[in-house]
Amino acid sequence: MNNTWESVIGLEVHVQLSTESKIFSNAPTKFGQTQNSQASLVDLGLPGVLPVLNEKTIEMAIKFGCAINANISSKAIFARKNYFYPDLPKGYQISQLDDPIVGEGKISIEVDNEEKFIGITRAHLEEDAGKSLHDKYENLSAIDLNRAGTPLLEIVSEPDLRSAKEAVAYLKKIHSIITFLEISDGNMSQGSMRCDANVSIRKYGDKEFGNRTELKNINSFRFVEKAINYEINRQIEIIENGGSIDQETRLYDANKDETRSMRSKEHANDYRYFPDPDLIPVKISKEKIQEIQKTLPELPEQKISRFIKDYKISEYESKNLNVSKELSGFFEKVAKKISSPELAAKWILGDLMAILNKNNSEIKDSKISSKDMIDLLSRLEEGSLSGPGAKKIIELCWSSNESIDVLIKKEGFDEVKGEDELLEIITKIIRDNSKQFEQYLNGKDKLFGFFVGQVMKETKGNADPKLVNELLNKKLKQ
Amino acid sequence: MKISEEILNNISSLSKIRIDEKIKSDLVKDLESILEMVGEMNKIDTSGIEPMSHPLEEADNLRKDKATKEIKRDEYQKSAPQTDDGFYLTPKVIE
Repeated sequence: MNNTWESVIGLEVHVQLSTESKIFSNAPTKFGQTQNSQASLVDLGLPGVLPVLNEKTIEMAIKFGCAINANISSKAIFARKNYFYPDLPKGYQISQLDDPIVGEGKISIEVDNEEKFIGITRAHLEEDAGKSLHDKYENLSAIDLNRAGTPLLEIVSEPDLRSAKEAVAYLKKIHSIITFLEISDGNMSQGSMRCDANVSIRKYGDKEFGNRTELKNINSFRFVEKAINYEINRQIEIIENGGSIDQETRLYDANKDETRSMRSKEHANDYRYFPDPDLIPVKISKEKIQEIQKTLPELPEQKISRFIKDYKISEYESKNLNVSKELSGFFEKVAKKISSPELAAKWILGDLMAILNKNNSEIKDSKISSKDMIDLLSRLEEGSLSGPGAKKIIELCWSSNESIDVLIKKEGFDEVKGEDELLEIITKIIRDNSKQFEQYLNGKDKLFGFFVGQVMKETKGNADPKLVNELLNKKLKQ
Repeated sequence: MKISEEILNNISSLSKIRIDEKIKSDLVKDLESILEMVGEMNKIDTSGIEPMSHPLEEADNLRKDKATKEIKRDEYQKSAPQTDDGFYLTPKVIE
């Protein structure tokens, strides 16, 4: 944090819409296919072909607009953004300039327990470009047009963000909205969500914005924070040393953790936008918007409040369970099947998350299914499995393909000791450790833990620690 | 509107069309007369008229989201000047 300089950040987020076919052609949009096997004549930009708009992209954009309470335009006009680059064979990208499909809206974020609203300027539909590979051939660029024509929703924020932390919170919020709406898989490592950041600084209290730089194509939450922080510090250093900021595009290099100049805006690209004569404006009726509004699924914020109310879990737990649709779905499946939803929240956010993090996995790839979790927690609830036993079983469940019941049997955890058996064991332990028992009776309270340990050792952990404590208390004080 | 050498060079670079030095002065004259003609239209009072983005009425000519299986890459690549291993090859362009 710097006391003199305030950072001003606006984000442009490109979200890949999860359609089956492209925005203006019927080529498939599958990721990771053989080069140019998903590029149709339209995507190749051959003469004489005509783009035809995919209706699903319009519906998905409207869904997003409804979710952030934005104005939805009554018509959508597509425009050509002209520039030359080998992976853009038409020589223009079909995008939107005037009348973007989604107008002004708002998104709430939370940073350090404070809620803040971030303005959305607009969100518009456009097509993605292809990919250029420069290191495959010595003097040539290799072009793969599979990605060309993939539908994107570009979400533009107002310069309302004031720190890298807020930018990350905003990005996470967009991520949760688009994944809960199921309009994108939000997979950042595959480029389904990419972000450009406009960053400038000014003195606190200043009304005018400083010159801004644009950081291109940042593809993870962590890099967003690092890239913006690097850029803020770079700008502060330049200005404090009497310099000035050039308005330019910079690329973040994650390996070196620095940003560097990409192209100067001195020769500012003049995109010469004009309405695309190949595409007739799309009329969006009020009825259509209302119809889509009705199909809107429950959004993160609504789910957070409902979980607190229905499952009696804490706000903290509910927020953490609702970071993704998959996690919140997983929790709900488990919570509905066992008697204590709090127990489900505790185990999912605790042990399951720890295992997922350790294995660099996400809930959607979890090797522990919701059924496994239900089986495990039911055994715990009925008292036929101890807490330490359950901890061991959940770890084993990750690394093996066995069911919970089989694992419990295999590990001998199905022999949880009952009260009578435990009393027998305790009596024996007291007899075998008469010296410690005497010391305990003479006021060495600390030895209580020693006896608990002995019991757990003797039962190989197959005992309910609460019951052990209770019985030991009774026995030792007799 | 006067077309300066600077504007001409900028147009040339944006459109990626090389302009021969010899024709530059003629081209400037042509461009200026085109702009003059367009300038005539600017005299028309268009206040209160909604800009037309397309001569046709808004329509619902949308496509269902269905993907084709018919991508004939090898056939498409026959018309490209240079390909290899399924890639289109171009002179090295790095921005």
